[in-house]
Amino acid sequence: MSEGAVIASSWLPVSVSVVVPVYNEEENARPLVESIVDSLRELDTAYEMIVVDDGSSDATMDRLRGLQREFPELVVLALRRNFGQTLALQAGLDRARGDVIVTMDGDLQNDPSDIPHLLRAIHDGADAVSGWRKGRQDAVVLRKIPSWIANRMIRVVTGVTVHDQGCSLKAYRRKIIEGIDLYADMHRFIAILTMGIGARITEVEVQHHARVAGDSKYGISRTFKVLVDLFTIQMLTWFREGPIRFFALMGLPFLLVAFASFIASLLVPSGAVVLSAVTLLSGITLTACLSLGLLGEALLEESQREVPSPVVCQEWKDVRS
Amino acid sequence: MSSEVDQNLISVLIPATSAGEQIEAVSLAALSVFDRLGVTYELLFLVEEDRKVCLESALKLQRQFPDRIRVLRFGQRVGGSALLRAGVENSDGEIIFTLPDRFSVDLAGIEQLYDAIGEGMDMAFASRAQTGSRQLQSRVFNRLMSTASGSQYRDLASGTRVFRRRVAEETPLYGDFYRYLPVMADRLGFRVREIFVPVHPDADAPLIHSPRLYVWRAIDVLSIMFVTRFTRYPLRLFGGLGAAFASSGALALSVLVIQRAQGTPLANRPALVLAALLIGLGVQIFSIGLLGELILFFRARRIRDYRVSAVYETAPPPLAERTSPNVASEVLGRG
Repeated sequence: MSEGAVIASSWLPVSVSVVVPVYNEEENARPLVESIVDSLRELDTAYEMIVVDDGSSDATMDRLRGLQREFPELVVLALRRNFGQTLALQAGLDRARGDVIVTMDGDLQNDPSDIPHLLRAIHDGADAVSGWRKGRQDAVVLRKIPSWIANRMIRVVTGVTVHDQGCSLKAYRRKIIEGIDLYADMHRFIAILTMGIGARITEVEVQHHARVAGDSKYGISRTFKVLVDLFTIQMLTWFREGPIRFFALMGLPFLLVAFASFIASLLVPSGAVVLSAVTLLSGITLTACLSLGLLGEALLEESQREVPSPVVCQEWKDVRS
Repeated sequence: MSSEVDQNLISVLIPATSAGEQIEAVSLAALSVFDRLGVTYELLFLVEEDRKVCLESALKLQRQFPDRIRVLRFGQRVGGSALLRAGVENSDGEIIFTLPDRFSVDLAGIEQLYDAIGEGMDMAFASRAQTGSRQLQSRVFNRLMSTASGSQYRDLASGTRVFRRRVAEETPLYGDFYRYLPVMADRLGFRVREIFVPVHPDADAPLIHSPRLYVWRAIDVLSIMFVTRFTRYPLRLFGGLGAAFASSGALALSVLVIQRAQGTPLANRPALVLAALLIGLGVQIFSIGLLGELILFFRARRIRDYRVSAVYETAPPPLAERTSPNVASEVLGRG
């Protein structure tokens, strides 16, 4: 887009919030803010940029404060300590006021010039837009391959069709953000969470640059955690509508084993003691599973009001009424 | 509940939890230290129902210094955390000291603690330089606690502390967790400093405690580990444990099945019971983790684990002028 040209189009949202969590990014602070502002000033829309300093130990905070004089649209949130990316992101989302909220990383690997493409996709009907780093500029073994495997698994397990869950450059309608709450390491699974509340999610190809300054905060050790979290979130998706069914399914093999060992104990008198013990243990496990399922149901009933309802994507009504 | 917090007042809380032989001497020494500091302060004795000696001493001191001392008596034994909560709620100072009711560290250390708050700390506590077997016990316990919580403090159980009011108000305090306030405060992002102070010559904490106390402390280590590391990831703990039990059971079962294929009868082998037990146990532990995740997921609306220390924005805020009326009202609504 040419410098200075203002894109005045009806497809732009009334206001946009860009939320960026940063941690020890002193060298990237200025280029980050400048590039976001460059990208947004061309648009004929109100915007704010919320940078969340996640307890940086370097001069990131000072740099950001210094930039506020130059860029009044910059809001800086300082967290008391390093709480991690998920919570830093949630802090920024809680503060965001825009109709559309864009999130991205602070390491400049995402390119803010892609933001208008995301906004366009929102205008075209999506509730959430995820960036897709097709030409990803990262180490092959440590980053690209684990990421490819993780994304493949997520697609197979959850049925979410997004190719690049790990891309932080995303945009959401405000109602979507209000429908999800992030805790633990859930920022990686926002797409799955948004699907859970009925959002229409689409993806847009975005640019990706190699890191120029600062150090990567990721390591291969997180792959295991991601897998456990993926499993957790899938379990939640499966059983949040009916815990008793899930736990009953879990207890079913024990019912079969209890039944089989009971029959076997009648048929094989020499093994009656051992087989009876197996019957008893399987029965206990089955009972425990069912009890936990009932407890889950009670919990679901008690917390139902706190679970967000699906978002309404479109509404048709008679304007005369 | 205190009516209004006085920014210039220091509240000194002394929970009466001992037999009370030293409470008077400790309090008089503390009074002289705070007088020397030249600050405005109030001293609150928090006395549980059956601490008669403590109550008598506290009332005697209150009659002697009626303008500086208050005595709060509770109808039953409420425990350390509840005492601390009640003390904070009933005090008026912005800066709160807690002191044990018997000699522990040299009370001159109070000045260092106060200075730490002046230097921007949210909390500071006096770490006792222990010796002999007491030092060994303390080291083992604090090392275990450090490993469990990921903090690096040397004397967590020290009762000589100072903190800003919001530390006690924001930190969940229940059970014996008042002992580990520095760890809990640290977790919420408060700035905590440990200050080494010599032990008071009259300190007489027992060398050997009752076996029950050691058991409680071991359980505390487990509780702190869970609270600081796994409350948001129950399946990582219970799932891991459950998977370990269930897979060892499955392994044992497969060995038995292979041996059955080689001709050894399966039905009368006690190892079959062990395999069934391990698998059943594993599934149950795993299920508890899942239920924990479910509880967390349902509570997510109320969970905000981050703590913001400051928000810097221009006035009026960037979107204030141009946002739609709807957005403005949402902002107000979210407060």
